Amino acid sequence: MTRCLLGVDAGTTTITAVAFAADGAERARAARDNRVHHPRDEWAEQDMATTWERTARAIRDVVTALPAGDEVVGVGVTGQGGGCWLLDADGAPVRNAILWTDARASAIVEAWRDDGTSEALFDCCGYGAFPGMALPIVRWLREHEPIALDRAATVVGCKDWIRTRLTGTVGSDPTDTSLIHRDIRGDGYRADALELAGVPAVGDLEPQLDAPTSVVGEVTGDAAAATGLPAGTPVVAGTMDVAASAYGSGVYEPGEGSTVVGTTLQNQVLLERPRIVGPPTGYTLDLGIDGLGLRAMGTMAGTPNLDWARAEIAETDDFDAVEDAAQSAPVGADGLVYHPYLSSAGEKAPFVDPAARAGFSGLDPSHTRAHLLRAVYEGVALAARDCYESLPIDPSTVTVSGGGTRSAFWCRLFADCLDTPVTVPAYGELGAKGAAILAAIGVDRYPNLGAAVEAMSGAATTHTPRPEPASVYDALFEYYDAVAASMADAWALRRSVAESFDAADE
Amino acid sequence: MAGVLIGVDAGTTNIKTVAFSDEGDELARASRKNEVLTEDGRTEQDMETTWERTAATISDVSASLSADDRVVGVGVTGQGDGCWLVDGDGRPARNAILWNDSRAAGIVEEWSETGVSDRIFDICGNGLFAGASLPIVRWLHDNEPAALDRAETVLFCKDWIKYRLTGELTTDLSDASLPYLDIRTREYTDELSDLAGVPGVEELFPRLEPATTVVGTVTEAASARTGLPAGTPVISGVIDIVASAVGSGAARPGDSSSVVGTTALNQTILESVPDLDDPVGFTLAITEDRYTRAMASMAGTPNLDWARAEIAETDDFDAVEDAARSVPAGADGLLYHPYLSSSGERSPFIDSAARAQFSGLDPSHTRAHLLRAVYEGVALAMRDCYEHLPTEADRVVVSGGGASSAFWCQLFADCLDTTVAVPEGSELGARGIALLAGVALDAYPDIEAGLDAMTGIDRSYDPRPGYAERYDEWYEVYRTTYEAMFDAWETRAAVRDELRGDGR
Repeated sequence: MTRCLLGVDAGTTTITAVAFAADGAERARAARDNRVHHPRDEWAEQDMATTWERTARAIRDVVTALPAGDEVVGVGVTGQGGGCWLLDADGAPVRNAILWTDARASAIVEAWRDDGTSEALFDCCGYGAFPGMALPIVRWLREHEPIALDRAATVVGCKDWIRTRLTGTVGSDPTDTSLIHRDIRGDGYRADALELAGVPAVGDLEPQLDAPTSVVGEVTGDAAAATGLPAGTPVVAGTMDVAASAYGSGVYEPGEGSTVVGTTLQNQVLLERPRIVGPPTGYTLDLGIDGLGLRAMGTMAGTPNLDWARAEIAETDDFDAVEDAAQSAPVGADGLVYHPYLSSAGEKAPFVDPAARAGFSGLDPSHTRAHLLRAVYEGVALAARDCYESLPIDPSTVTVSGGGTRSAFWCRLFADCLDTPVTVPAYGELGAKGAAILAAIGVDRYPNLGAAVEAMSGAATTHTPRPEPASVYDALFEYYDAVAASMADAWALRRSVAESFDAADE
Repeated sequence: MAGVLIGVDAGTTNIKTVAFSDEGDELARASRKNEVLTEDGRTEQDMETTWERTAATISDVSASLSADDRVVGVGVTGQGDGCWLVDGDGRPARNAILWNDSRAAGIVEEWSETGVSDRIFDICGNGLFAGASLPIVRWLHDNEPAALDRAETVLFCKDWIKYRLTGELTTDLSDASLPYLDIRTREYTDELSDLAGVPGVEELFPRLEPATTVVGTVTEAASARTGLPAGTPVISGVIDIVASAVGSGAARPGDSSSVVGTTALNQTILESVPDLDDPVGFTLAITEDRYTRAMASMAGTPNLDWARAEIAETDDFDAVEDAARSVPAGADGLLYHPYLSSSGERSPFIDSAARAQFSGLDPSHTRAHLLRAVYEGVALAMRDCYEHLPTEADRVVVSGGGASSAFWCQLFADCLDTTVAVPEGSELGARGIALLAGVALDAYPDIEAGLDAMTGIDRSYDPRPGYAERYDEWYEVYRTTYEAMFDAWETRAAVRDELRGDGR
């Protein structure tokens, strides 16, 4: 008989539930798609009831698949961060959740950026405001849906909604609330942030704060019926996916870095304690464990750069062929550099510029298609380097995860471009594992984070930076940086002119 | 019996001779490859070989003329710049050093830093570059003094051919303009010994003869080699870029023409020397009341060759053009700067560290957008050159390989907001120099009459309403973007030097 920890990761498009043994071995796993609604092009919402139902089904699939005799002794939940998940006084949804990818509050954030509110908010809360965060969204709701806002009693994160349905309790943890208006250096909330954002009413929506590892309740009878979990199973508060993934990938000591090479490119380092340090973009989490903090810089575009180059430059579906070609070009692509600002929303780390766009520069006639492709791989790695240069700690190691790390070639490039050992965990469901690690601590299977992570995070491959490529990338980064630093005015003019063309072409 | 005009165009890699009737009909043509000796950024030509191959083309043409064709005169044009030195016996003092040779780059860099280049620009109206005659002479002074001692006369390519035809050592205003003339007096300047640090450089200058002056006649020896009747008059001629402007019909004051080939040459013919505020591009005297102001940009067809090979990966230009055509004007905000040459750009700005780039990329852009952006980028570079030329031409005559694409010609018209005309005929340099021979030998009373008789327009493209306005705006983005890049390009060059220094 194996006593299992259940980790649930409610991602934006996929919900995953995994049962782990106390040594981190996977016992059973299930996943369900979740749907994002786009009532308007730039809006992104989720039906909260559906999110719960699909989570419950994923859990039920795991419980059903568990080997006979296995028993779930604790549950941890993690989920997509940001966005705005509003509960009424009964703990029921007020409206659809508005997600972190939603852009309805763009104009609000742009105004904040112009009038200095953004910088002031950063000094207060340690994050650079972006449209998918709770405060700008609430500000938007105040203007457009005041009745919905009136019904709201609590603002929480995605994982907290799942916790409410599992346990009947309402609350959040220090990480998700770090993205609202929590005082990351203290115990409470920052009323001054709400004044800055023009939403003092959020003061009435502040959730109760629970440590990520604290047991906040037990699986209710209703939840047991929906999930197949035994009623009474303890549930911990859990944490936001970025933190959970870090734990799941083996990162728990101050000075360790981690990068997620996914749709976006997330780069973060663990801090001994949360502190607010610029540049005023990205965010800072109070992890709520061992006094730790986390400083993160997420770029807008990671793997989509490669998807684009594969489709439009290589015109193939075969990533191996793309990688072979890239590998055939020399380190540094003979001076051809790609800036991976491919998102149509521009870039937000380590600098904020909605008009920024991707580009190839330094082209000469000796460059081939292989050079173009290699430059794209390198450009994404150099963007990670750019973020780490702006983070307060030069990391001792960087653990990489996400879809992009299926490419060993790319992982090696990250090691060389960052000039730092890069560790790639063998296991893939890092968020779910991190949530299970928190549950293991919550049910006293392990005494602390370090012990739990060491026991459960599992095997990994490490790529050591190679001196010669590292020195090439050191030099090339100077050029990368010089171009990025030169383009702001040109990008702004390009955007305004291109938008006038778009309007005419429609 | 018809009067025949012979035009010889001694290009860098191809030498052509064409015989024309005085109505501009092509009667015969012949060509030979010429060999460029290349090593480590140095490019030379064996002067005897250049003469021999030129003579062979003339001989072929002579042989194909009918018995009653009477050769009225010969015009010679050729690659400009470089350094063609002959000794006191009229023999080559060494191999010719060509216009694209880079051995004198350090000298030009130094002159640019010490203000010598600016001063020379003030005198002659030409920005110096490594392949110009004077820096090469200085390089020889420093590195091959014996060769320079042997030299009695500094010529240009066409002058060497003329010398072998006639035994006369001469040059014309257009070749000498860069950089030996005071552009305002059209006479040799005497300031260059001091400026260039080459004492006595003036003693090398050949007799200066206007383009349409007969400088001599074909000698017996040259007759034997070329098949031309001894005594046939040979004119002073002009540099190839002027000859091609004449041959394309764009040689009246105010006329503009562009040659879109490996490089892109854009020029406007003027009655007088323009204000020379910006020390870039060429200013060449043609006659006492005709000048050309030219921007020779590196942004030519190699950009499209590159995109076809590396992005479209096809040999089919029609497919590339179809793809580009499928995308709206402005490529949905994707911009290409065509500074693909490894020597950077030289007009309308000089930056050897400049390189090509795509910018403004977003996920909606397809391969077709990339390709359209390349066509547009070359057209915008042409626009950029004309922004720096003193012209309000209502027509630009476009020739060269790029002119064979109707799609591209239309883009040129839209980006310049000017009618683009493609001239009749193909050997425009040879046609232009034959035309000037006709003027010299009274086949035509003046250049205008020669243009009427010998040149014509094959087809024209008018700017399309809506497009021109759009490219006006897009050009501002193009310019703002490259102007933002100068510092970054400098960093890139430094980084590359650093990496090369490490032995990589």
